Parts: sequence; C-alpha cells; structure tokens
Amino acid sequence: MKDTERNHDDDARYLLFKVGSELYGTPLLGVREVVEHREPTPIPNTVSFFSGVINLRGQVVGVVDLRKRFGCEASTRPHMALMVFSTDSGPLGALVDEIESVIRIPSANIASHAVVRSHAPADYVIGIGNQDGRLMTLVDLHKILGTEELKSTFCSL
Amino acid sequence: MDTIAGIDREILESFVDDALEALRTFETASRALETGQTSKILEDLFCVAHNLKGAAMCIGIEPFGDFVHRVEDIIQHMINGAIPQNDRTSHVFLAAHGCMTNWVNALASNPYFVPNVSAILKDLQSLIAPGLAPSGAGALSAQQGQDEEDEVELQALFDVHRRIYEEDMRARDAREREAKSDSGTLAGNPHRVDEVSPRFNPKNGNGAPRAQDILRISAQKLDELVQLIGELSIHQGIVQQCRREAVDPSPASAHALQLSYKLVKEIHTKALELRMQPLSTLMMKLERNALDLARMQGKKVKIIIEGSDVQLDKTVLDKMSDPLVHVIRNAVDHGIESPAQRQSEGKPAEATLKITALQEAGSVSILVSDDGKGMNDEAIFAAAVRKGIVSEDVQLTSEEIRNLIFVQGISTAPRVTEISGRGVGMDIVMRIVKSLRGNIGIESKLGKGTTLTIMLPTSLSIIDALVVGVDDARYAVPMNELTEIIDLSRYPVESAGKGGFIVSHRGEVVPVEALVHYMPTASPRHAPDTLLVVGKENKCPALLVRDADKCVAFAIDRIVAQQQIVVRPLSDQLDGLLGLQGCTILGDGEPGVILSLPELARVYFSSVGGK
Repeated sequence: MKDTERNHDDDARYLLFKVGSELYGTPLLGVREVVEHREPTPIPNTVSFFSGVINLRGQVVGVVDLRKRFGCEASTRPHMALMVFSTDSGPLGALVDEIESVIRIPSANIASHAVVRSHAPADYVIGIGNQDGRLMTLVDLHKILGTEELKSTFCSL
Repeated sequence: MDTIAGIDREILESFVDDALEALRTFETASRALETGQTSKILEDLFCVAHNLKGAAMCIGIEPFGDFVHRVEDIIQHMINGAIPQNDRTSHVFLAAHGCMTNWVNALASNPYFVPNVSAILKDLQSLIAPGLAPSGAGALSAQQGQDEEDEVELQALFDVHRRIYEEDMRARDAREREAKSDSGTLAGNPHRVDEVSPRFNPKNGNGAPRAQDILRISAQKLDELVQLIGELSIHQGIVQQCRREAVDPSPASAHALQLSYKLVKEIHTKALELRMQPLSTLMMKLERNALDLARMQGKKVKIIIEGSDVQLDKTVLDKMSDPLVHVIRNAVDHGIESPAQRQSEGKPAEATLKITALQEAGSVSILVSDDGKGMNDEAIFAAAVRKGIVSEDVQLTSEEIRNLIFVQGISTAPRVTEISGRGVGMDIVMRIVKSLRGNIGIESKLGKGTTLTIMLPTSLSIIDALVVGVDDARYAVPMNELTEIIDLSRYPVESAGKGGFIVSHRGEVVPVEALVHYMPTASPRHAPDTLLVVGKENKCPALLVRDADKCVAFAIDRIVAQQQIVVRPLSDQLDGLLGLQGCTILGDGEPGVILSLPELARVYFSSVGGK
C-alpha cells in the first residue's frame, strides 16, 4: 500500500465509545492503547473531572473522567475502559463507559457543519458521523486532552 | 587528568567535534556563495567563523584562532561591500575551509599542530587588496604594507607555536625512547610537522573518538529507551516470580532466565549512564564568559578549572547552565576589582577565579571562588532595609545576612549595568538549584574573596523519601526537605485562633497546620479544624519544615514507610501544581505524588503575612 493511501485510510478510522448513553467516535490515530479500567489515585487541587493517576507499566498516567468532563449524568454503572492518548504534554487517559469498535467513516459520511446539541465541547467536535444510519458525534479527544487545564485554583487559607 | 599538551582531552575532543560541525556549515554556505550572494549567507559565514575563533582562542589554540580571524575579516569586508563577490571569493573560501578542516582534524591529536598557510593567506589578502583600491594608490600601498606586516606577525606567531610543538614532540619522543629502550626497540621519528600542506593522517590518532564516531541522539529518544527498559525490568520481575512458582522448571530455562535477568539489569545501568555527561563543555562556556566579561571591564582574571570530568545528569546539567553563567558573571562583575584597585590593596593585579567540581557520594558540588573584594555584610543589610525586606533593628548573623542575596530585588551594586546590579538573578539561581533538590552555600571574607558552593544531586531520578498518609491518600516526602518529625500528642497543642494551632517545641513556638488543609482529599475523614484535637494515647505525627529562621509543622495521619523512590515528572498540564514536585510508583505498585514541603511552607508563611 502506498504511504498516501495508508495515511488516508488511517485518517478515516475512528474508535467508537460510549459516554453515558451517547455514542462518540475519535480518530484512531491519536489513541495509543486501550486498557482495562483501574481505580486512579486522586491528586489534590485538580479539577473535578481529573480522576487522578494510574500506574501503566511503570509510567504514571493521568486520567480524565469523560463523563464528568462532558457533564453527563453520572450513571451508577462503573466505568468500563480507559483510552490512553499520547498528547504533546505526556500520556493522558480518558475514562469512558464502553469501547465499541473501530470503524471506517469516509469523509463523505461526516456532516461537519451539523448544528447539534452535544455534551462534547463544541470546538473539538469534528462532525456527525453516519454509519449505515447510525449517528455518532466525532470528537478530537487527542486535541481536547492535550489542551486541558487540569489545575484547579488552590484555595488559599 | 587526561591531557594533551596541557589541554584536557575531553575539551579538545569537544572542540574538534564542534569545529568540524561548524566547518560543515561553513562549507555549505561557501558553496551557496557560488550560486549567489545574499547577506544571510554572509552572516552565517561570519557567525560560524566568529564562534570558531572564539572557541579556538578559549582553549588556547591561538594560531588556528588567528587564521580564522583572517577569514572572519574577509567576510566582514564582504558584508560591508568592500570586497565584491565572485567565483574567486567562494573558491578561496572553499580552499580555506579545506585547510581548516585538515587543521582541526590534526589538532585532535596535536594541539600545537600548525600547517603552512602562507599560500592561503596570500589568497585571502589578494581578495582584500583590489577591493580597497578605489581609495587611491597611497591608501592601497599602506593597506598592503599593513597586511604584509600582519602576515609577518602571524607567521612569527606560527613559528613560536611550531617551536613549542617541536619541543613538545621532542620531549615526547625522548620519553618514548626511554620507555622503549628497555625492550630494545628505538622509537623512530614518528612526529614531524608537515611542512608542505596540512594533511590528515589517520594513523596519528590515539583512540580519541572523532566527530564521525560520535552519534548525536535526541534526549527524548534516550528517555524513551530508558522508559522501555524500565518496563522490561518490571516484566522480568514477573517472569522471575512465575518461575519460582512453577513446578520443576527445566534447568536450561532457569539458567537462561537468570542470564537474561542479569543482562536486563546491565542494559538498564548502561542506559542510565548515557544520560550522564561531563561538565567540561559547560566549564568551557563559563571560562569564555568570564574572560569576555573581564576583558570588557578591563579586569585581569586568571581562570582555574578543576574537575571538568565530573559527570552530571543531562537534565541537571542543562538547567544549571544559565544559573552558573550568572554566578560567574556576578563574580567577575561584583567580586573582582579593577587591576589598579587590587594593586592599591596589595593584591596581585591579576585576580584568580576558580571553578571546581567535586564528586561526592550521591552529589556533586560546584565551587566558584574568587579572590575579589568579598561581600559587604553592612551594605547587603542596608540594601535589604532599603527594600523593606528586613527592619532596621533586627539582629542577623552574617550567614543570615548573606542569605539575603537570594531574596529578589536586593542589590548592593551602586548602579545598574548591563551585566548585573538589578538584584534579580541570585533568587532565580537559588530557585533553580532548589528545584533540582540542591542547595547553595556562601563563604565570604571582606577584602579576601567569596566562595559559592552549589550542591547538586548527581541524578534526579532516585531519592530517599518518607511515605506519609493523610486520610486515604499517601504522599512521598523527600527526606532532605524534612527537618524533623514531631509527635504532637506529646506536646500541649494550643489553639491560636482562626483555626490555627501552635506548639512549643524546644523552646520555640511552632505553628501547626493540617496537611489535609493544603491537600484536600475527596473523602475527608474529619473537618480540618478538628484534626488536631487528639487523644494523648494516639500518636499524631507532624512534619516540621524549616525555611531560614521560620518553621512550620504539617500534621499528618500516619507514617507509612521510608523508601527509595524513582522521581517522575508530572505531565505538563499538572506541572506547577502547588506543593507537588513530581510523582512516583510506591512500593505496592500504586502511583503516588511527591510533595514539596518547602513550597507548602512558603504558602503558609505568605498566608500569615511573613516573607
């Protein structure tokens, strides 16, 4: 396969996941790995959606709770999976409820200017993907996590 | 120390590497000149030549420096437009490049190597002469006369160096003959100055790696490698564990596993060693800075450098570069007096600035000492009072007064110069050193000089730490930041109003703060202000931190363990989080964060209005 073709193919592949009951997709290219969920160790003075850090094979990786980040209803169901992204500021994990599958969505099937109400921050929404009638919000998680401000203001005494 | 003719081998190697790289840039730019002249190319050329000259002069290879200076002059003339660009100029530049490359290669083994460059010098001069012709015949001849004079002068300098070189070689030959006479063989005549043209002889190398043998690797790639090896070690441990539990493992596999365990360990050590770098390059930079500044201010300074083979972690080395330059410039600017003043005080006109690196167990000390005027305690105190940092009636020991120089905004310099005197700097130096878990000590005698001792850890990665618990959270506290641990249940704890508490510890009033107040956990077991109401039967440990003359104790729930931890940086988004300086993996495999007690103490002091 030629390089350009492969790149093109990679670009079109998305990892589908669920946060609450909403279906999302994120470009597969930015995802480093998907690991089993484990309880993170909280870090004080961080924003509420930052769950803490985990030990990923000797590496300390921060974890963002996407349910809290997107402001979804906190379901009682425990988180199922953790997607790890290699962002410019180090590896960062995103906790989601469910990882579905990897699918290929040609750009023709992405409505990039659709105005929809979504929990995801509007700036990072790529568009609405359509796969055989199934709709999903495509977000650039790699970008969201890379620019996230995780420090909360320290409550001075 | 391993030296060649008085020049440290590592410095020489580093010079040769840098010079060859610079010359490659020079060549590219020279070739670019053939196609068309732009001021950008000329500036590149000038910059390369200028740096090359500086580096050569700095380590004492003057003939080479002088030659590069000539080339630099020509480039300067071209930038001014005095010499027009044509095929001939780029041709001469390329010839000069060839000559310099051969020269540098030869310098790697013989710092006194001097080729015969008169032909190339003539070529260079011939570029200048026609360019200056329009100003009249008289001027031309004067210029030529000057040039010829210069050339004679340069040739004389070469001759001196050649003589030194020949003497050096004769002495070496003699030594070799002496050494070999036992075995009956006589050394021939292996070293002779090449009279015709500089030629690189690969056989005269003595094992020193040349530029071609050194690979430049990005630090990030190295870090990734170290990271992977770390993961490998962890899995190796798991395999070992499995093998022990396995029923009747075959001896062959047991042996292979043992061997692979040993190899992984060795690879790990080697990979960590790759991060260690000698101080020599930094030392050279410091020397150049000091000499430049001294020359600018008309001061005479002799620089003595010791211990440039001491090694430090690359991160430490990189972070210390600017602070050390600042310290050195401070020493020259503030410490060392003018030659006239020195003589009037009965000191030699030439001052001595000594930079020493000492390897100690687990740490490296860098000492910067000058024999200048020393620190004036009264002036520093007065400056601090003027800035309102201390009040006039406070009695301070001279050590405390000297530590005031690390406070932002204090300067005793009567005027602000471009180099120093703004009172910013030493506080930043201190902050950087502290962030590397190091410290700075000052010794100074008025009129005699000052010695600054900067203590740094050799490696950033492994430290001794105390693991403490607050509610269900655990934190690692570096042992060297902790002054002592006190048990609050043994002291009468008094409420100081506004939710604060105090204890009297060895006759000193110590404020007590609940750590949970600064590091709130998700599920606090008790409200912060009731934390300290403890029963006498329960131990209630508190971590006492001292910052200069003030101290504060942070109450914790329990002490979990004391262990060595591997420090890992926080991700960029969390970097700078208050009171945290990194994270680590604790003994049970869970991640934990490393507290910075001094920073928490500063937060407390500023919250109560102290400084």
